[in-house]
Amino acid sequence: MRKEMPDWLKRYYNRLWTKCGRQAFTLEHVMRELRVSRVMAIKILWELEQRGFVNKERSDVDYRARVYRLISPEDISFAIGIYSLVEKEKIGKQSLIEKLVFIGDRLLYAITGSHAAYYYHHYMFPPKVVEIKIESKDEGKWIAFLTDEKTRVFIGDVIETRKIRSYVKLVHSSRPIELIRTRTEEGYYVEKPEFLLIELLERQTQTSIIEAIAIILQKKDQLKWHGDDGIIKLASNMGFSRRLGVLLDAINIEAHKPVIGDEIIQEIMVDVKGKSDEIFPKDDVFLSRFMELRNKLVHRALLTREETEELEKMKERFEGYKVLSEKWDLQSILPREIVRKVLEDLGVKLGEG
Amino acid sequence: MERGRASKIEAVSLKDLDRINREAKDFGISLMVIGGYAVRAYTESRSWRFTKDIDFVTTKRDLAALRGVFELLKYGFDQTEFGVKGSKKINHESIDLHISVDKVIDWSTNLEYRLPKDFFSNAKEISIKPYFEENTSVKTSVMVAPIDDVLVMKLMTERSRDHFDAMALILDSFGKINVKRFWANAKYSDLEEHINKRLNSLLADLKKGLAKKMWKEFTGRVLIREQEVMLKKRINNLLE
Repeated sequence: MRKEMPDWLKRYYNRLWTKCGRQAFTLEHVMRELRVSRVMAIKILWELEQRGFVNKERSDVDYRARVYRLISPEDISFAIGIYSLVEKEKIGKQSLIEKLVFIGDRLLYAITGSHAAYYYHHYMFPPKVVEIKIESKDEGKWIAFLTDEKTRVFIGDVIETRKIRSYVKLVHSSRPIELIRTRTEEGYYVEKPEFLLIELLERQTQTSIIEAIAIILQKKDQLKWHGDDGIIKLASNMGFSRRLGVLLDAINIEAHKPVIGDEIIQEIMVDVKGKSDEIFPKDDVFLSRFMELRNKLVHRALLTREETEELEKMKERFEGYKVLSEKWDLQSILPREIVRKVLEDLGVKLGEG
Repeated sequence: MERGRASKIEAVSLKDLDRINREAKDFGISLMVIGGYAVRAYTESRSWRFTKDIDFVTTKRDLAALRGVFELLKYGFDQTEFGVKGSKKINHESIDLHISVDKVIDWSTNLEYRLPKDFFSNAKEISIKPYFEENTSVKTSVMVAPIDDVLVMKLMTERSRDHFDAMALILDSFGKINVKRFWANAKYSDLEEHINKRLNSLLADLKKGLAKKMWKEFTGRVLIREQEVMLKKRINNLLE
């Protein structure tokens, strides 16, 4: 797709920018401010959206409700400039990865989340949404650069039911991008596994835990454990030492052999101080299921013996790592089969349960 | 390993899947795809978050013949806790085939799904869409377990990943579900009460916002209100 705007669209864009700037607006605003019909307002917004010159957000309650924000003239100029460097025959044909390779160091970024995790573990295919960590000042440039017929870019939640090849979610990085990223053989950048592991521990959803285990198993010999940008220190700085310790110990327990060296676990233990009332993982589904069981069991008098036994059995699923809960002074509700499944799938021989 | 090599592994596994399907048909072996690939066959591409491994189900009677097919395609053949595992190395990666025999046992609950008598006769050959863009030219058709059975298997477990798959199946392929057969199958495995509870639990998850969270976790996208309403209506239809 060509990024240049026809003159009629430029005129409308400039008038809208003068009126709204970076402020959010609706279709009705466009009709009122530009004094155009509904059909024309839709056409203007559609043309801008196709080029990535306006950011659209939908409401999950009413999918039809839309709020727009214009991309600034400077960011549009940047995207048009970049596109002018692309060979004519390649325009509109580049995949997302090819575009990321093409942008090189002109904008700083690192692929994060499940797509970065997949790069390291090759275990579970990621969903279609590619998360990219960027510098917040570059947000407009990224939207204008990445948006095309095959790609839609989102800042917040990805609310889209239309089928499209790639969805990109932009995430503002809290650390300098250059510190956290590494260049792949293919020429695009992904988050370094050490920083990514911390990110996954921070999310502590069922999927992020599975991905963290898979990365640890697949890359354990190449991971940097020590030093300022090593996993142990990064976890300690974020207050995640307990979570990391439980996860590594759980891997060793299920494998019935020290997949992760004892010296690493001992070093993590040094950083664990004081009391904690942390529950791990704080996955909403796990937490809800666990609390529900606990609440039901409080009212034992109202339950039959069979019902109590069934609930106790279900609760046991979340209490499989009681030993680790005591060792790391947190409440682990991580079901053992989650860890065992990854180990089994990745070919780690399991010991007796 | 870079993306190019990962897509090559997918290409090999899809081609092998197609070949296994053809050979099984030629030799009259009852062999159906279940698990992630079956969900992939019945749902839109948004809900792909699967491992590269492939899950099958067969009968004890056909196991010996199946061994021959696997050996032909250079897959190892090992007995495991829950059935048989076929494995093939490609460079440093491996493609694993997990084969359940006569029944499917769930890791998280230890519950069993016994294959109903009409399981193999109700299966359909469905094309599997590749994950990687580079593999769009790879055409794979495979015998997939009937959706009614896949749905029971997904609802039988305690894993939220499977519950998400069940929601995706109900949303995308509700018209293909034979409600009567679905409940008959659940009953055949003594899972009627369990599945009933699970469906009610999904309704509660919708109410509490947990379904929305699961959807976001597994697709990266938001479950919009319209989808929630449709899902609720369809689950209620299943429960009627």
